[in-house]
Amino acid sequence: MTQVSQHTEQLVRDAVLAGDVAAWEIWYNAYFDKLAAYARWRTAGHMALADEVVQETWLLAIRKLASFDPTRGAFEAWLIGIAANVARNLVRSHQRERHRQACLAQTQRETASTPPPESQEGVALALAELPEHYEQALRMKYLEGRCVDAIAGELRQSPKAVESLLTRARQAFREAYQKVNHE
Amino acid sequence: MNEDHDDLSALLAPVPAPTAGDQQQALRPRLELAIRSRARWRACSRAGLAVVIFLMGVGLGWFLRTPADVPTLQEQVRMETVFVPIPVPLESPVDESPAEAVAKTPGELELQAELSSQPEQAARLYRLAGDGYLERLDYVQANRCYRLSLHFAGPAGLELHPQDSWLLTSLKNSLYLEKTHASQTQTGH
Repeated sequence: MTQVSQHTEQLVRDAVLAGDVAAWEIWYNAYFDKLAAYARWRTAGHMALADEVVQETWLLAIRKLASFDPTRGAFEAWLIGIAANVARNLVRSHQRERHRQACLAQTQRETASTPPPESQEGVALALAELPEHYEQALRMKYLEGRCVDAIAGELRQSPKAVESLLTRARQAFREAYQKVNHE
Repeated sequence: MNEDHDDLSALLAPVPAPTAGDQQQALRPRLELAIRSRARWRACSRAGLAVVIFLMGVGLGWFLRTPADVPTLQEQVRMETVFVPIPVPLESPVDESPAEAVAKTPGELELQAELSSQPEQAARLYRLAGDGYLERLDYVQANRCYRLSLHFAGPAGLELHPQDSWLLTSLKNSLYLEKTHASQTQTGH
């Protein structure tokens, strides 16, 4: 992030903290679509969950805006970081609720097994189980469609290190996905 | 690597946005309300913090005030002077008029006596002048003034009084003896 963009984000941050809604519109219009796309990706297309992730992320960003420091990173990265935590919590909470309802239905019907999670839900659960740096690497690769060199530039690492990171991230996702589907 | 990539591309591909529904516009009023209420809350918090800091400063100042500001027990006790009248006997052989009291020196008293036209007053002033000279151990002048006092006082001035000085008493005695001797001598002749 350049010095100019840092300074701009600092001004926007201060204006929003002072209650300037017009300043907030700058960020809201610029990053809403990106955040919504990320939420859909994290919830694997579960629209109700994705909408909830978007809403909770924006509200949380407003509440925690005083802790945003432009010198430590861009607003987009800070916002996506909040969204990742919100999505992880919501997906897990949704899964627990679904599991509880399945147990109730099993008791009532006395069936032998619980229904396996759907493919969408399995992806969301597997992403929620991944460590942050693996999730970040997969997001850059599959959601944002960046090449290895671009990811290396963003993460300030060598392309070889990024390739290795992606391999480990894919492996971790595959294991988490299989684990979720077998539960 | 390519196999992995293709394998996960289907699962991790971006999900297209739904055509219906405009969440961005629907969420906007709520976020604007949150921004304004958050700003008001921050302003109130800052004002409250300022008030708290001010009150803490006032409290600290009151707590750390100098001992001079604290009223001590010593200062709280009012010092009152009670005047107790103690009668002191002053030895005054004769009554002094205001004019005589002003003229304190024997010379001045003697001058007033010379200027006086009344014998009683002249006798009294000469006597006072004699007392003054006697206090100054000027026996010659005291003797002269006492004699003049007895001269103007007449026979009644020979009566002895406890307030009389030793010189005046001695003069009165000698004059009394002289008069007695003179009268006896005249009777004898």
